[in-house]
Amino acid sequence: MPKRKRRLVTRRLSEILREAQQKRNAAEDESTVSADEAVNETYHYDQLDQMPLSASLAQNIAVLKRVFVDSPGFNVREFLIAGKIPAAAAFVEGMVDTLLVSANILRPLMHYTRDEPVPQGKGLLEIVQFAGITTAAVRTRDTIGEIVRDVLEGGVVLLLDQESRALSTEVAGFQTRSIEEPVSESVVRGPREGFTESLADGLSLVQRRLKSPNLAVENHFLGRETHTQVSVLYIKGLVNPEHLAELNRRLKRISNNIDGVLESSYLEEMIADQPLSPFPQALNTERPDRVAAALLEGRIAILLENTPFALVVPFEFQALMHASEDYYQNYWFATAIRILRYVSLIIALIGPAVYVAITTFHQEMLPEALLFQVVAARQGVPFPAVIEMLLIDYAFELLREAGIRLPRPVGQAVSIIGALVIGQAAIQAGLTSPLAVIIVAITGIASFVVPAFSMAFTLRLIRFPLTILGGILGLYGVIAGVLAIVIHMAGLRTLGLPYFGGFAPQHVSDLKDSIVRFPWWAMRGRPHELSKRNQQRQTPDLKPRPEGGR
Amino acid sequence: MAGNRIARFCLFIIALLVIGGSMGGCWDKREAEDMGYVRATALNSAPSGKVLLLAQVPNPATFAGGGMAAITPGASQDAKAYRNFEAEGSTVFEAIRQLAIQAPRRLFWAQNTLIIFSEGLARQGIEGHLDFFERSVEIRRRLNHVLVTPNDPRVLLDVPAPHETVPGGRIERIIMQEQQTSRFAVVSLSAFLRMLATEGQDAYCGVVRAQKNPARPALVQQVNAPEPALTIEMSGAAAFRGTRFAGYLTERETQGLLWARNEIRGGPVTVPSPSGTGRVTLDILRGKGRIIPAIQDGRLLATVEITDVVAELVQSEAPLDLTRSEVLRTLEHALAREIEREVIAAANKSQALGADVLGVGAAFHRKLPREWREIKENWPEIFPTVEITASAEATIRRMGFTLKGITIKD
Amino acid sequence: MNYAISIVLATAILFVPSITAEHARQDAWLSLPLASAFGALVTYIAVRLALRFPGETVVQYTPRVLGPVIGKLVGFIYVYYYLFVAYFVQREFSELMNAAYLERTPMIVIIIVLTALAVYLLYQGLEVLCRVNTVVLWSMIGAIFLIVMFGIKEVRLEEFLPVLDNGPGPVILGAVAPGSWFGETTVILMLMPFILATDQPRMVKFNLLAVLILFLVLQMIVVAAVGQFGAEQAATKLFPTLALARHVDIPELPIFSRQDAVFMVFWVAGMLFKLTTFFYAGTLALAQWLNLKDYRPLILPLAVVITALSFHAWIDIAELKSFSGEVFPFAISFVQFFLTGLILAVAVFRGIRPQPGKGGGT
Repeated sequence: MPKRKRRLVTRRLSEILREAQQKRNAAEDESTVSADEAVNETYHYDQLDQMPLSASLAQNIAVLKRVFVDSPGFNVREFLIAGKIPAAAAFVEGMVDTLLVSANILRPLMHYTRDEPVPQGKGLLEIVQFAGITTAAVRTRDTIGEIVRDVLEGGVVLLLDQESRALSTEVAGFQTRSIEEPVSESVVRGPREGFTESLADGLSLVQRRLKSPNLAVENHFLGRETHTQVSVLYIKGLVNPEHLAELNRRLKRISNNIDGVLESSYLEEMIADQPLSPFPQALNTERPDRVAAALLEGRIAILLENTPFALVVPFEFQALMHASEDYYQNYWFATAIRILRYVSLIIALIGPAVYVAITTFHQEMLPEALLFQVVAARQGVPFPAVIEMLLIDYAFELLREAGIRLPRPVGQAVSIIGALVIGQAAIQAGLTSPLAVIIVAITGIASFVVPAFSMAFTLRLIRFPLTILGGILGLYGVIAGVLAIVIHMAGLRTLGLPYFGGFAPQHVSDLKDSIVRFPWWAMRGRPHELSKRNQQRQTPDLKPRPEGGR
Repeated sequence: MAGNRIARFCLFIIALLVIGGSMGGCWDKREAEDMGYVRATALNSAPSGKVLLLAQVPNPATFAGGGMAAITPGASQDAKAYRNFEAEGSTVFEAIRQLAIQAPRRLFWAQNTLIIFSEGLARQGIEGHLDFFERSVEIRRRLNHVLVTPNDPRVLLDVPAPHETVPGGRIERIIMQEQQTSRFAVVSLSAFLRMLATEGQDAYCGVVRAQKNPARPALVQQVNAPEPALTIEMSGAAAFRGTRFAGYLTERETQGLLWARNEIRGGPVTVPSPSGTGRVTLDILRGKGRIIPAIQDGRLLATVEITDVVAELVQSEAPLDLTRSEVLRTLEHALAREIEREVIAAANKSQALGADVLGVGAAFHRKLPREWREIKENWPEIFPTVEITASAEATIRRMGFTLKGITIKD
Repeated sequence: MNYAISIVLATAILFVPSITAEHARQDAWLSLPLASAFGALVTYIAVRLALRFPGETVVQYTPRVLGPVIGKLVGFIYVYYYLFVAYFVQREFSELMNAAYLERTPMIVIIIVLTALAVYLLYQGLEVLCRVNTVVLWSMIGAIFLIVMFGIKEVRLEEFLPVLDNGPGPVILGAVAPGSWFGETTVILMLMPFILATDQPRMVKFNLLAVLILFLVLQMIVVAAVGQFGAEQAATKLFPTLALARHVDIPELPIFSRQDAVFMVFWVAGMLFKLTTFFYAGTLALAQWLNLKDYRPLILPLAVVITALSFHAWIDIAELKSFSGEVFPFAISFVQFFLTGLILAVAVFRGIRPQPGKGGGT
């Protein structure tokens, strides 16, 4: 009897297909928009979110096709569930893993066999969802907006006839970078994993380190056209709810009011407390261990997709001078290195300015031998010390920028050797003095010592006005400039937390992790200004000591 | 918020000032290479009551280190290492301004380390000249030393030398060696001023001379690098009565003075050997001095007490057996006596000169203030009548590497 | 608490040693404890008065205590007092700069730069002021400590003998000026409302502690100055502390010998701080006196006013110096001690208490 059955099935199938085709044509004729006009239509989620799915499969497909008329890779795969019931799967080819789609969605549904007949309409969705597709996560959707989002996120949307809900599932299969050591923050000792452009990978990296049910995430989707997924991470019970509320408020303010959020720096600029300040107001890092440590202190982390740089807020100034390696090395060493960093910070900031101020206004400060070296060096240089320093500094910055833009092997060579050669040539041409070149070189190196790259930019920027001030009013000018900066920094806040939170008001216990680093068994409390509750990190008695014995 | 706007406005003002300042010329700007750094200053008397000022300015180009000398354009290898500028003026400051006529660079005194007065000028009284130095913003009080010279400063500051290219520098270095000898006084400007201001204390300062160079052979054979004719020496001290030069102290007297003033830093003392023949030389490591005043039967007494003297035996002409403790004791006694003699010599000289450089009066002021108040008016006359005695104690703690010295077979 | 220290410290440092030495000569070190005792008394009175009306400033409650007319008058005296100290500081600072470091630069430029910084700081608010102060203050004390330590070799104890050569009179005379410096802690009268309610009861302790620290620091300076220069010289120098800084000489490390400009950093910071504090107090006082809602609009005009005043009030530094030794101490003691004590006494006597709803800090 098989022959007869097959013919029965085929006939039924072709009938079904013919019916479906008719319906579709009808639906297309119904649509009032011509092909040309469809090209110029733009869609916004506010509007799409308002459109509910219709119960008609054809209708839904037509709408989707209109929305995605020019979108690359969009595909609607129509098929029959169990060979009888029309359905469609919508996805973007470049975004999904097509193997998964065929294996976990299409095959189980198309080859669905069960004893009971598959109902059409009511009950169909449930069967598909619970007994049909075999992917890990499934959700039901009601509006066009939601399914458009899902499709663009790399998911597959299942549309059923006579059903005004759709099923959406994740089968993202686009290429992402594998996890590598972060380029901007490398360590000698410590984990070498860095965030990648994949948010899912990033979240998992953090979760691997904080295996606590208290780790919480809140997702935002920012940007009208980019719809970037932004995950806000924090640890319940540790985070200060005020900070969290404030951050959420600011994120909501951005949400769809901006075209796109492509990188975490966009966020950084838009949630800043003091938007005009040149100082960084969010910590950025590529390292999940740093994020985890921050979360443990009660801070909030923001992870974005499509960028490996995560943000941490709020933070105090001293965090800009910390590197994660400080915590992985011996604490004496870490303390010494931190002091070195602070000294470098000062050098990088006021090095040229002080040189100019002293050689121009305060020659009495130099001991004779040094003074004569300066004078001898400056013989024949046509510019006053200020101009000379500004020129050399600027030349150095030029070289640095050029070095970054060139392809990597060439770039390194240009920066270093270029600086040396050009410096030497400039000295021989009588344009500058060797001392100035050395000062600029040391300043440059000192600015690299600062771990936070964004801070380094600030330093480079501020250095120039300070040098000018030094040339005008001598040391007094430099001091006034530095004071102005300090005043500015004292007034900065990140998410409401003062920049100088560690230094003033003075909580001695906070200082254990500022310029110095106390050993872990001594760091009992969390930073004070951060969370007013839950101060204790660990029990007081963890200092290692020999077991008490007789 | 309005506040912020105004705050920014303030910064704007600062910015304006900055720009305006740099355009209008910054007032105090001095380019380092446009200045001449005076190393040593000497003052001499000039006809018609004027003062002659000598400023020694080293030439920085000759000090350029490393490869800079080859690179710096315009530096000539044969350039003289320094220049002495001279000018006359009715006061020190006028003389300085006179220098502006000759000196191509603006002269700057912050690096100055020596203030030298000629003996002639010092006899006239240096109060006015000192005032300039006291008031000056550029002069550093603790780093400048006051000296008197019997020579013409022109000659003194022009004595060539192979090592130290600048005579001023050479003097300075000799001063820094004071630990090796106590034969000359080292007095900084601040110390000098303080002594002037102290009741019952007369000031003194070091003395520098240009002497004939004993190392110069009679016949000059080598033309390339002949020994210079003169050499510079620091020896003794110059005592002042008030602000006038009173007289010189010999090297021995100076040593006694330094003992009394608690300024001894080292130096050799030679005593007769306890074995009877020959002498023993000891090197002083440290010592403390105090003056103890007393009044007995209407007479003023002052005892200079020298204590905590530690010395090292460095040379003995005759063999000494130090294993016997009485030898050591004898030596120590001899040393103490010699110290006392030096102190008495200083005291006698100071009384002869009428310059209380030991500070006997000050001792009275400190310990017996009431009595001092009565006598201080007439102190210049009373001072020579004070009976000054000395009492010293010494220990010889070290003797090098051997107890007995060279052994010579009989 | 950190406040109280910085305020007095900045100005006192520059002048005090010589003023005191002028009178008491080598016994200057004895004058100081006397002065700080007086200062402690003044401070105590001021703090008690301030604590009595914790939510208000002196300008606000004085009319209630002394009656509307007299109260307003006294209030205005306070306003002037604060601004007065402010422009005194301006002048003092720029005289020092002019004399020692920037000889040709017109004084007005120096003052304007400092004032602009102060205005900027003021706009940020009191809290920022406190933070900056905390960062700066201890480094300043550290710097002073270093200056004193490096000079300790030159301190000759015999300079302090004989003790009480001229009797106790000069000692007391020498204590007058510093005593008034100590009394500048009365700026607390304006600041009390801004101190956290939780901290307020401890203010007495804090302020007295500040006086103690002040005393120690000033004592160090006086001892160092007299010990190194001798009493006579210490008295005649215009800027003894600067002289101390220049006197630092470590033969082994010649690089440190001339670094007095480094200490300039801390002076500028300290002066800025004092200027800002008193300027703030004065501006706030004036705003309240005029019953204005916010003090901010007054900042800029007042800045201009006090700058002009600082320029013209004294002809030259000699006048400034004698003023600070002879007139200034009495003038400010009048306000600090007499007026404050008067207000307290009357308030206690008349039983005037703070209005309900105004207690506690913001």
